[in-house]
Amino acid sequence: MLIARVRGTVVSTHKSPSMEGLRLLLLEKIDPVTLAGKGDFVVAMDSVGANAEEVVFYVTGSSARLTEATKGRPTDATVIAVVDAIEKDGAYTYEKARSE
Amino acid sequence: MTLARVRGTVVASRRSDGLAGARYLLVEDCGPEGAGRGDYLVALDMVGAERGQLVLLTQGSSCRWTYRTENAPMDTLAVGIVDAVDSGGATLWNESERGR
Repeated sequence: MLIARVRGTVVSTHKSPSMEGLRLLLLEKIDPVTLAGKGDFVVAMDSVGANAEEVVFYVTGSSARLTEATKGRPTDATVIAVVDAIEKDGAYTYEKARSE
Repeated sequence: MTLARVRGTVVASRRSDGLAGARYLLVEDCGPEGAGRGDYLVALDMVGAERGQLVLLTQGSSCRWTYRTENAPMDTLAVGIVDAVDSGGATLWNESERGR
């Protein structure tokens, strides 16, 4: 799984019927230590109700279809977790409670 | 499979993985001597790995071939703690000598 920050949403009206009813999030991959954005973006389906600027992690490939929300959907990227904290070498690099 | 070093943990309470008691590791992609490459991933811990250890990572749909992760939206698993890596008669990694 990769760590990213929610930068926004992607809206599509004209789409495959199997894509209907799901939120699409615009994610930017971040370095989990510095939290700096990498300028690398991906569009992912949302299965946890992630909000703008939250740090999340997401799955790619066939695993993206295996949440309750995305079962049978033609997605290859799905956000499966909203991150509360990232710890590296015994110190927090990110704490959601402090970032709000 | 690839080799990675355990650098820390990632905590997330809002998840859609359906896995009770899941522990997520922050791991850094690394070479066979254990030197990090600066690329981080989040991996589900299957083996009780600790910070500093070299682990075997499985990625992609193969991650669902354990009893615990069957049909779970998982694409990165730490499936083993590496004891030693040998190449051409030289020991590149030895867990029991890890004090580096």
